[in-house]
Amino acid sequence: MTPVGLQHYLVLAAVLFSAGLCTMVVKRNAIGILIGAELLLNAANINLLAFSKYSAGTLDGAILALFVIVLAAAEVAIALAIFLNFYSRFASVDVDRGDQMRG
Amino acid sequence: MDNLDTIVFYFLAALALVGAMGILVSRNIVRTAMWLLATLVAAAGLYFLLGAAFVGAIQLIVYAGGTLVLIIFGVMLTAKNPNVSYTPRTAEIVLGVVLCVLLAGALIFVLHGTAWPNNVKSVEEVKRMSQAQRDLVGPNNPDATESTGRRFLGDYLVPFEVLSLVLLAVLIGAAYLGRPKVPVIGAPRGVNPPPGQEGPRK
Repeated sequence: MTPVGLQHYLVLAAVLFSAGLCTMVVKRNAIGILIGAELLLNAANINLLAFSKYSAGTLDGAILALFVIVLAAAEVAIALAIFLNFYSRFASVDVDRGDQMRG
Repeated sequence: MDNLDTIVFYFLAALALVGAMGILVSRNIVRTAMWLLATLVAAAGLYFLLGAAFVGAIQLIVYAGGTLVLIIFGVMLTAKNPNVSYTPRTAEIVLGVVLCVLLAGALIFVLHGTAWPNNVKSVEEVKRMSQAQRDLVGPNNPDATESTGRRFLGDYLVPFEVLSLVLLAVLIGAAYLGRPKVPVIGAPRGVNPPPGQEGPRK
């Protein structure tokens, strides 16, 4: 087996990113779309730490990854509050029904 | 040791990919959240493998412990209506899958054609550095967590403090957006809007 290097992590993160984007495109449940966004952020974090270890050799990747984790938590909190309002208005979290919101 | 690293990497990568595919194909939103747990734990394992033990621990505590619980609460609060189906149209599925397979192919093609620079310092080089130089180094740094803390209160101090303001804004914003819209029966004073000021009931 070839030793694991930067390429392995980058390919894994690319596939995770594509899966997350596909989830965001395909799902109609707003919470499913939110979960897809989490997948995207995790793929980005894997990239940051892989570059930190194998290419740049600095600590900045780990620090940026910590910022991403905190901002993802903040994003989920706000998004869920919006979805709860959406649910109390439409009795579902189907994003296709968002086109009924005018003004 | 290298061999063990390789085996662990492939195990965690497989777990992350299975979780991602599970998220993609699962129709039940609770199962989707559980597959997300698998992916998050696998990603935390990969962070440990990449030598970022602190980030891995934070991933487990904040993401798997906090964010995922929040998502599951969201699922429980919005899944009461059994008549709603979230099945996407076939054309949407085909379009999304084609788009994402193309994206993955393009990304992997570009990754294999790129030579990345390698500026990683060896263990001996890191040992000979001064403390200030060592704080900049991620891999092969024996006390990387200590350096992370020093960087957060050093040259990352302004982003760190801005982040705490962002969290305060999120706390207030989420509480404002999530306030009850209809009067809560038996609520203490101040929770319900005063009589005559209730919003329109839908």
